Amino acid sequence: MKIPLLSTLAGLAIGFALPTIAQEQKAVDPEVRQQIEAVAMKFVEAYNKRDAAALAAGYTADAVEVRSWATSWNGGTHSGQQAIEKMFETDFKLNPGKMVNKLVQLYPIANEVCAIANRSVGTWKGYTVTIYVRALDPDTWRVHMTYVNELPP
Amino acid sequence: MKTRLLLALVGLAISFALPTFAQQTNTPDPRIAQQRDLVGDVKALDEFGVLATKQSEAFTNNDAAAVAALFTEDAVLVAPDGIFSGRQAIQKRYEDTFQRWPFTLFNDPRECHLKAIDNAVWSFGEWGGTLQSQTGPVFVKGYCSAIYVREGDAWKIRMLTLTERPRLAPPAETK
Repeated sequence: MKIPLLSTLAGLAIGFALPTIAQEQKAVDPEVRQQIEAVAMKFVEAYNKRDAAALAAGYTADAVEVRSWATSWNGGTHSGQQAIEKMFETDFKLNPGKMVNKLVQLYPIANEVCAIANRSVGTWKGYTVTIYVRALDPDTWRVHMTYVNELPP
Repeated sequence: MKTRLLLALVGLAISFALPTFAQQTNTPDPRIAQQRDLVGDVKALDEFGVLATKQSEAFTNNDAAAVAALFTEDAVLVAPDGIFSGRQAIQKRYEDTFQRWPFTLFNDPRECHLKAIDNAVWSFGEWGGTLQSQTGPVFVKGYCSAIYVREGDAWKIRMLTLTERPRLAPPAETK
């Protein structure tokens, strides 16, 4: 009697373990996807309203945005919410174009989400890679890191 | 003895079950991701030092297979010339790159910041290297960022994005 029970429990342990491991490789939960899409849409709306404060509020306090182009065009590394807010204010002076963002890929990294998107601002075009982390207050996703690849001409 | 084994297996089943159930529910995870800077974490820095050395050797040797081996099977490379998904596509991309622009030297990324997020790590920094062009050596540099995940005993690249200055135009076609 005990042997079948042992086998059952061993099977149970393995049965629970396998999906746990498999889930690490799985796609993002559909609900999380919707949440990220909503956050990304709000970001674009805020950008096109030229609202630097609202944009910066979507980042964590220790967030980093890395831009692949020259610092003279507002590229380079911008660390922290304040620096990021300033960065957007400078963006608005440099480029009057509207932002368009199209999500290409989304995948989980532990409890975070990595999003790859096509982005254009006026004639500037490129890719973005963003790591979102879940924040509690308010319960939303915030940008922890963004890498913007090749936007200015 | 059997009782102990039973208890151990029950414990094992529960310990595997709990994270599984947590992942299946759609309720927000009340836990903010554990993030920490890896500066000062000697073990982590050693491991990433080994990875950086392998990366430098693979690039300096223009070995696309060795570069691809640094990535996970499902990795993504976001480069100025497009998005490359999967290890095979990344290897092909580097085969093309090395054929057109062979490296003579790849420097380890500098000003590299490493941040841990749960069981993954992301980094950003600057890289540089020397390429061989038809007119002589060209120094290139740019920014890079990566996400690393554990695979067995090693860290592998799950995502890499990088750019180079000056931009490398394809060579003129010869007729």
